[in-house]
Amino acid sequence: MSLRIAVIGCGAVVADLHVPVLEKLERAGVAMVAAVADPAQARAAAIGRFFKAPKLHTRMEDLWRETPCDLAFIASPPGLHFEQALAAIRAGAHVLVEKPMVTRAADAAALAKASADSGRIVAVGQTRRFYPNLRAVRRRLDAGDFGGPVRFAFYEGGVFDWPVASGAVFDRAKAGGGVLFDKGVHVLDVLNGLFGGAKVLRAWDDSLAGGVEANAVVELEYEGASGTVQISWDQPLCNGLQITGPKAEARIDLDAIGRYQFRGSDGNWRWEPADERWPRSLGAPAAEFTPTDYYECVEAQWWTMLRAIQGDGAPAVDAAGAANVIEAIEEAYRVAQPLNLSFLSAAERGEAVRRHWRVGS
Amino acid sequence: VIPIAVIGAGGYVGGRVVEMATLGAQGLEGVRIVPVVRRPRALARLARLGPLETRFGDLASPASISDAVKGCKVAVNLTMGDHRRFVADVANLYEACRANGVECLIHLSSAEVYGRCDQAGLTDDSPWFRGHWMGYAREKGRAEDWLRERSGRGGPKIVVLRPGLVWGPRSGWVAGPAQQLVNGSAGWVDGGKWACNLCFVDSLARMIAAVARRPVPGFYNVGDGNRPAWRRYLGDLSKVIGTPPEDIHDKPESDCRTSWGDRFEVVREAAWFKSLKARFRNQTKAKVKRMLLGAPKPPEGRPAPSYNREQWWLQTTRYALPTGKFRDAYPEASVPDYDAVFPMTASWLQFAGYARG
Repeated sequence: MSLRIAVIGCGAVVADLHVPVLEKLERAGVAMVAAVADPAQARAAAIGRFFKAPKLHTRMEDLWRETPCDLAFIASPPGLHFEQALAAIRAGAHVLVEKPMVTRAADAAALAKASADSGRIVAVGQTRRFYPNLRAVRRRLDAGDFGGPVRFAFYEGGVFDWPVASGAVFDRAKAGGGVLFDKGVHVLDVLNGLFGGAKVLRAWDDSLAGGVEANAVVELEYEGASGTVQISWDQPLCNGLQITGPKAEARIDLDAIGRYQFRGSDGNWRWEPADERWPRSLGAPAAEFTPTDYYECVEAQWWTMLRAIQGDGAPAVDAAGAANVIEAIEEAYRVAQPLNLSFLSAAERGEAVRRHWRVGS
Repeated sequence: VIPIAVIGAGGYVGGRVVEMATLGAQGLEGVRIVPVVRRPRALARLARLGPLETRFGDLASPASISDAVKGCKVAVNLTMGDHRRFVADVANLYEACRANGVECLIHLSSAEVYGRCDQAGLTDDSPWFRGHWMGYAREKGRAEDWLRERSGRGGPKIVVLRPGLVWGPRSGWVAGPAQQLVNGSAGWVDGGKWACNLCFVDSLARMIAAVARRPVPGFYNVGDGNRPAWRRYLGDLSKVIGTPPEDIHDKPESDCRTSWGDRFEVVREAAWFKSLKARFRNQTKAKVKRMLLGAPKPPEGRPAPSYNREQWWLQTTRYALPTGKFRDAYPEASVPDYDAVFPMTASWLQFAGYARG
């Protein structure tokens, strides 16, 4: 019998990234979308039309009472993730939840515990874990090619262009924060994937009181690695991740997932192809493929999740792994200082410091 | 305090105007900014500044833009959007201003209406270049015509500002060349000897505020106090970034050709193509693109220069556009020279990670 999936939340991310994979899974007969839920009937219907026989719901409580499912895919606004994931676990379902898993560290820990106690998998949609270049660099780190300890610098900036339906993502009460909760979740998860759990040393952001940060810089320490990340949703940055060790260096372009630059002891930069493979079927032996774009990474994430539910392997990021990222973000907010926007006039810099959201807290 | 509706407040110039006013920057005194944005995503540039008087308004919707400018004495049009809508948008804004008693409409046009400025005697009131290959420039020109016909006819005072390349911290005209310098694909044309018509973003914000305080109707070219040649501009960026000038590619103008990619741009802009494209999923579009371009291969050797038609066109601009008319009309708005403001851009290049040396 194929796995029954409930799609919870029907925004742009579902339509653009997940519907094509879910259709493919239905066609392959390994899964079926049994339920589609969204408070807006029209949005639920718009997603539901892609699948064979989904039941549409506008109330979550009806979903679990009326349509039993094996897996809940949660892509609702982040502030709703915690309660919806718990409800799914209580109903006996596994959970794949879009990032960020939750908006508070306490909820992250509670969800990790609920997952462990129930034996239900909670996986988080950190799609970048499936980037072949990141996995290839991780192998090199594990093999000691860089020597140690290593330093890193990670820049990720660009003008926000996700087609959000409301301004909720720019509201601290609804979204948990600003760019750190949006892009930062991805960036910190990439580093966790390479180096393990993060410890926040210092953090700076540019939010004034009553706003959310559009720029943040966080200084981080890992076992055998340290460095900074800088993220922005209001300006371009010189994007990419650079890792420097005593024996080698790597430059990783997150927009070109099939390769990376590497410089070893000979001192010459060269391009290295990354052909890391992921399963694309259930059962053994698994058919495998190398993702070539973000969409295929989403597909790899789904196959990995379905295999994990069958007891074959583990999801790339589980609740405990995601909890570390949420804790790091919460810590970064706790210690945040005004970011030095050195390119503004002295008067503006002074005002930005005077009105910073953490001043006086 | 003059209330100014800044339409397009989520864009590069609009966002900077709002930021400068919020942080008490010099030159923005005496104005109260009412940011107007079309859709929620445009709030990203404003979100950090805390509670603002932001309104939603779409120039394509007369009712919404009328509501958005209510109670303001000045409206500034800083929108970009679809160039095929420029004339209709400016007409809707003009009517909204008239209906709501807005006293002054400031419209941001572009120096690009003069193309490569290949006549020495261009003035602020010279006719625009009707044979321009860029739809953007032609429609900016047509929007100017529409406004010129209504100037002095009893509606709001009309002031049109024509900046060249709006540059400064966070600008695409800085980040783009900077990224090419980092990648090794930056290039200039004819040794970079032609004019680079720059207009520093903070200066433009102060010019807008000066016009709002004392509108003198007219059409004005605006730009930095002095403007460098491309060789100087790219050279200065390369010094900050740490790219040796000899790594910048060079190409004579006679070698510049319209590529297949440039030609495809014309197709991409066509309404039928946009409508066709909208029918396909992003994943399908990504697959088709990959199929057409072939699988990405790691580049080898020295990166190729990345000249596109817009780049070599801009880099063969013959003359610095005259900006004396604005300086004469607004002596109080002192416009700094390129050299005076370059350090702020250099500082941003450090901030944004382009200068890692």
